[in-house]
Amino acid sequence: MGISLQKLLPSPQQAADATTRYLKKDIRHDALAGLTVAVMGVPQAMAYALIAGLPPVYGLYTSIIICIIAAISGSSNHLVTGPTNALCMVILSLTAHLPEKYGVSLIEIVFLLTLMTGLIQMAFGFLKMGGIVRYVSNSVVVGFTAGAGILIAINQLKNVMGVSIEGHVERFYEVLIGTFAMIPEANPRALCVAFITVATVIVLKKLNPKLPGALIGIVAAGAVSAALGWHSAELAGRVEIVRDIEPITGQLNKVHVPELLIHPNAELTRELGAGAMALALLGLIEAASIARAVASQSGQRLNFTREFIGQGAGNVVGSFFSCFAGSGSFTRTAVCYQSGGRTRMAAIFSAVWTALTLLLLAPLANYIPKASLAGLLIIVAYSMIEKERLKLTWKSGANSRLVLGGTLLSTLILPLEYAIFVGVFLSIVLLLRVTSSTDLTQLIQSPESGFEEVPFNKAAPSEVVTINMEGDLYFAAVEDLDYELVRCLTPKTRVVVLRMKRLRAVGSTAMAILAHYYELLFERGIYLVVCGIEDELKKVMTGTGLRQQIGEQNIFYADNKLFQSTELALARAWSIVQMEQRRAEPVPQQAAFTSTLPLADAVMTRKCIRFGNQHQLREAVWLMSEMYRRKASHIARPLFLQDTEGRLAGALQTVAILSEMATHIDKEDKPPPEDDEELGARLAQSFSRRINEIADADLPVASSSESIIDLMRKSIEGSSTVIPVCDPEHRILGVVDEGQLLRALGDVLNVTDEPTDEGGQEIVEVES
Amino acid sequence: MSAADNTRTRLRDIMLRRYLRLGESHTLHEVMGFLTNKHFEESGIPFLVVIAEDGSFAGMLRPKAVFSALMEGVNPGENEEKSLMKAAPVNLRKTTGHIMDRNIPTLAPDSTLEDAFRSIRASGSEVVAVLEEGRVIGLVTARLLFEKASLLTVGALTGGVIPPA
Repeated sequence: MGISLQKLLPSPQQAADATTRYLKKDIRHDALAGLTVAVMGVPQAMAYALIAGLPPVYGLYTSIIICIIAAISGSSNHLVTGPTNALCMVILSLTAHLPEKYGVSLIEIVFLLTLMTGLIQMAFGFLKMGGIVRYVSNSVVVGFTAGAGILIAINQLKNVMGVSIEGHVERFYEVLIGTFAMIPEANPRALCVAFITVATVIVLKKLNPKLPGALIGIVAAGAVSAALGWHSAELAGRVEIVRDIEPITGQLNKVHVPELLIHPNAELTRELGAGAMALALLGLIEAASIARAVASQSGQRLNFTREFIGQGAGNVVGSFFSCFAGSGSFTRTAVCYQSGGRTRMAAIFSAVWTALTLLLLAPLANYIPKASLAGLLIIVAYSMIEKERLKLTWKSGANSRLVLGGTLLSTLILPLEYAIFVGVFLSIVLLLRVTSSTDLTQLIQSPESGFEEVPFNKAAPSEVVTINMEGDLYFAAVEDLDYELVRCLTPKTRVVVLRMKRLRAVGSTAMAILAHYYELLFERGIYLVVCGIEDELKKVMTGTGLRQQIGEQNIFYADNKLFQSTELALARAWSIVQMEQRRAEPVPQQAAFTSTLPLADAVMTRKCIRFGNQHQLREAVWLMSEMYRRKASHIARPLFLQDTEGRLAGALQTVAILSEMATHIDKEDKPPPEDDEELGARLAQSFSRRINEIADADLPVASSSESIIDLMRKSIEGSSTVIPVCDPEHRILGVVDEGQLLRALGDVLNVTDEPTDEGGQEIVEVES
Repeated sequence: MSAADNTRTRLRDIMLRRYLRLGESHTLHEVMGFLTNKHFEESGIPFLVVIAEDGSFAGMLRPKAVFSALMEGVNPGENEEKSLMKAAPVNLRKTTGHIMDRNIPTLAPDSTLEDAFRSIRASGSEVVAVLEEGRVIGLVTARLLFEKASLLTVGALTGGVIPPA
């Protein structure tokens, strides 16, 4: 352990060198970038707190603590974490109604929610679930962000107008109706302040985008309001300022253990659970996508597991320092990177500058008009509706449109925490719909151009139908596949070749469907040949028994050479077709068999070795081994024995010799032979036996005038299919073996056609 | 592996690796059409190994089984030629699966020579199928085993044939 720690931690010298290098090269850039982020971020943070329904100071707290912790423990060198508009909108949606229900202060509920969110995010990180972000598509993020932007804008309209909606309104349409109902009551001073803020931000952005428009807009609007005394308590129709919500005291975050940890409320915690999950997921998506976008420019390689842990740690620690849930901020991160921020210290500097602002300028911050912050949020909301990305997503096809529209609509009409799940659910359902079909085409083999691919069921009728299957073959993709595959059959079809080369996600349902397809073909008398079978598919086919059902001779495995297994499968298919055709040909009918049956004399061969029946087995073995050595064949012809008069005395069959020799292998008093030498010695022990004692003396014998029917009958009766033909004195004239007999029968039965090439493929000579 | 193992011949070392393979659905007509090829006049009728649909060993088709199938329905005493011709259309449609010999002894490729001797002695069969995972990888025929036996006993064979006294 000591050794590994030494390796992990830099030595004091290394740390000192790195610090010196940092102080020399990077600190200036980071400090400046941090300042730029703070100037832009301070009013933004206060405004975002307003979105969440919280006093603005909590936005500043969140910008300090969560930013520092996430920067230290996260993976990205440039991500600036803190309050974000979308998260604040979800926090509002999740918590606004709870204080009344549970009698707990809103801020304590928010702290608990922040802690839960952080813990879930850390759990995602420790479980290495960085890949979960992949399941949230661009359409979901764009739709959700646009929806949240609309909600923010509508929620802030009342602050822009300087009015309050009576009663508790929560739903999008309730807020909208309530706000419109209050138009006659609009406060012209508040409208003016909001207008000054909005106009300043817009004009400055056009004149010089590098200027901190938000800060200048708020300062300008605040200055006008203060100068005209619009915030004065005595004034009727006064403008509300930050101090009216909760005064900013110029104190930094204090350690504050959430009340709900000290006095837990199980029901409230349970109710927050799903929301915390949505918040955690949304926060991680934001952070990951922003970090990834910046990393694509900086070239940094990100570790999402570490980033998730960093985000979670920021929120967990933040919940003990009066922070609400934060995440990566796109605008602050982009500004940080573009302002020359080089390391994660830039984000920490932005937190330090924000803290200094809080300490030094709190009295001034209290005079910021609420309408000014609302005006700023209207601009933020407008920027959240990203027209270009919306247009691009809308043009990306029906599925993207459906996900985008579904998520946006859910954002507006459902509790916000569910909108993200609806989006993810829609994405997955549509993905399954897209992948839940196997692409089917047909292949046509042509001598000139190899294989041509034609649309499924569009190929000309043929005895062999070749179907190319591609894509997914999991349970959802194979519904009705068996019947779909049947569609391309024609009355001409005799064999179906299924090319299954590029199939993915093959499951047992697919195997069952293919097995049923096999049965459907079988019922129609059609053969099934499959090819392009890869290892994974082979395993599934073996496990489900389909391999056995189809038959090994009808399965061709994928090869590196393109279409090789398809070509082999087609050769097999055509050989089946020709075999079928041969079977369909009428078998020679009775009328055809008019020839006179050949006799033994005409069929037999006169070459035949005869051996005296008085010899020993040793001599017979020697003679037969010489005889076999001279004739290359695998047929063990018997040795015919004759007596001293030259009459047939029996036949010595090879099997009988082997059986005799084997009698000495297993001796009761001896163990089995240890090697070939000992085996040979034991086999030779039979050599002294007389061969007439071993020979088959009752073998069937034919006369030269007997027909092949007689010969067949004798072949069936005897121990050998080699029949001796003898004269009346029982002297051997010759022998008829099974080959001669079969050829003669073939002539008689008119089946003498030599096998064609195709036939050769059917009954094949193999070499294993 | 003991020293003795090195001096023991295994069936995979001697087995016949070339043979004819056919399916159970082949008809007698097809088989006879194939076997009547002149190619087999010289080498003799080869061993016909029948493979089941799943690729496993099903049995062997021996000439005796072919003759038995063709003789079905041919009654002794009648005009046998006519009887053979009459039964032929039906008999020739018989499939290999119906007429083959399923009782072929089998051994593993690592079996020893003495295993093959014992098997042939016990079964009386002139061939033993060598199987690996249910699939045929070779055949040990009576002739092969005989040739191996004559090599093993070559010392005892010296002297050739002694003319009888």
